[in-house]
Amino acid sequence: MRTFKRDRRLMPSHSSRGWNMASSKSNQNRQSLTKKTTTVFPLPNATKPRYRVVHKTEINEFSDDLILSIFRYLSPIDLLNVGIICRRWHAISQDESLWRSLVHSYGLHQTVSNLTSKQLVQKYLNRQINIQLQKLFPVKFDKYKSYTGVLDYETIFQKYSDRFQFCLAFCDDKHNVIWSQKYETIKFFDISMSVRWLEITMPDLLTRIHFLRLFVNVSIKINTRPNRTRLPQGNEQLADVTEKPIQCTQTIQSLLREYKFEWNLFRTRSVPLTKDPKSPILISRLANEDDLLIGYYEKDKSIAFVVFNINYLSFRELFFAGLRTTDSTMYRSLSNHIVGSQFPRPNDMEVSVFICLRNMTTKFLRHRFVNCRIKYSPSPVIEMIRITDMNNELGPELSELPKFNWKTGIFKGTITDIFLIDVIVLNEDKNVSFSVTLPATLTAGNVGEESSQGSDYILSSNVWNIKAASQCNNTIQLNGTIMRLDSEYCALGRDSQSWHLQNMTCSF
Amino acid sequence: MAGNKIKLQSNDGDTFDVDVEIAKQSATIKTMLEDLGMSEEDDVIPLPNVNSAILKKVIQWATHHKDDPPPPEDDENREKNLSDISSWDQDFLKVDQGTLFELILAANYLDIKGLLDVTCKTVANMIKGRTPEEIRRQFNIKNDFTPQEEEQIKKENEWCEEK
Repeated sequence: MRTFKRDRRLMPSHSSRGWNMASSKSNQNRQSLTKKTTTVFPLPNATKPRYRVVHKTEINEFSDDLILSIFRYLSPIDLLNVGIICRRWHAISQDESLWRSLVHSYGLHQTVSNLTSKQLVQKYLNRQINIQLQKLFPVKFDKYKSYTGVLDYETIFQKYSDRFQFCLAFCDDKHNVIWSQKYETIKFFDISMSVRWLEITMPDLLTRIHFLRLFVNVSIKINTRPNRTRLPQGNEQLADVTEKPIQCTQTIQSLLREYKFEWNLFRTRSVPLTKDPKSPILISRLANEDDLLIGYYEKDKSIAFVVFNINYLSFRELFFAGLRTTDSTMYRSLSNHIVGSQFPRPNDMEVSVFICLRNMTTKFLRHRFVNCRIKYSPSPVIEMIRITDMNNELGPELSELPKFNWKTGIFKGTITDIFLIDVIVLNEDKNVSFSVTLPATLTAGNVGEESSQGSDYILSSNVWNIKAASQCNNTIQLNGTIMRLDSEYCALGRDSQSWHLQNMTCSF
Repeated sequence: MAGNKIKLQSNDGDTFDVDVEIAKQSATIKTMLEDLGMSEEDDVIPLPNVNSAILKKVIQWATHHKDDPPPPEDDENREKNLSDISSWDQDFLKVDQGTLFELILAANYLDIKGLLDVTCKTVANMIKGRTPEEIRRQFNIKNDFTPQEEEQIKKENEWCEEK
């Protein structure tokens, strides 16, 4: 049946001759024609001759020419994309005439070049995208800043808020990325596979979105040569890290899929934190299980989003308890609630502070400071005194150490790039009064004989200084020391009892 | 010849009375009528590649578009605007995918340029902006690349940052 149909399609010119015969026949006896059709091509279930078993036509039954005429309507980006569908489409999408007409429509035929049409178009596309990116964000996001969103995002969002309702920044190993959104749809600029914009439709309800952070999971392969005596040169350190590519393209792709923001799903799946069904705060778990999308509706129907990775927020019970009781009648955006609202006044004597030192995938150190003291000074300073080790108290054990081998201790390259410090401050009512993620730097302390090596081998020292400061306006600074208390080389994190944060101060 | 009717017969035996002028939007039928002199009212033109449901749709389309100017011939410089599908056509093409493909095949076979354009545009719109996986799902296409080949193609397609 199927071959029969297809054969006839392939030779339309033939059939016109056949028509004459058929038409005269049908004129004479149409009834017999119908019958004849069914006898020649009997169908197993056809009790009535007029009914055929419905064969659903598939696109690959089309002739190449027909598929090509569909492809003629596609943009070069979509054309690149259809080349990945299957072998046949790939072959068709290479058609020279397709690309040549694009070359003409972009006016590229005037350039003298020995490239093929397709290469010409691709090159042109590349250039356009780079120009577009530069226009869009004059600042180059680097992977680390865009992650924390600290690259003065408020200015950027303000600047673009009239052009885009929404901005999203994320990054891959190419150090470039972006995205932003306009009008009714959110567009991702996806460069990880082929170049294209992804459009996501947004319900009318969401009239304004303040910002959103997309977490990028980066796994970094680090050369863990146990040879501690050999000091690598500066250049060598960098080369080593760049040679081993940061493997995050895949992750970004999967994240992109997850973060497609099915708004409806978000609304049906999210749980209000209070029993009040009109609670403005909604929490939805994202598909990768570790991230939470926290949405906060405002009175004017605008919404703020924050994506939190709860992997390191293992004190989340407290966190959410704090969020739950956070006063939400002010109709401020959630970001305001989480960052910097209700900062404890100097007479709020008892606060708890959580510190988590981590990179994107691994926690290295977590501490909970209880009964922190707020110093009286022009700018509030929290002195963190009593430490509770969070490993024992809350959250899962740190079962997995980073690919980064602390024991052999060689970490080459840009260590400052991967440390992040999360600070959460609870006020005396256990409400979250402050939460921030800051880039942290570790520098070797000046005690011990090994301090001369310390700048190269961070872990060759017994004392390291942590410094973290917000890059927005430098109002948040955090200083402290990590001290290793036992003499054995041990892995930070695996045996966290022997590592302690000391002399931490947090000034705002 | 205005007002004249011809009969078109689908492959499952139904005949449809159609104004000659409407039927002539099909270049195939037009050629046949002119070259083969099949202008008599009694003649029935059998269309062995088109079933009743599709033929009905095609006639519906052709009737609505009977006063349209003939589409331009040159393919290369044609305006490739995907969004310029008239609202009538959009409603008309709100059909399941199988029917849409049948319409394309019918339009191709009957050589109705306007219908072929608008149906191809509709399919192109289904491809536009989608991920390959979404496209495969949409059209029920099996990925027959080896992972290595796929990787290779993706690599070729990749956007490069200008240094």
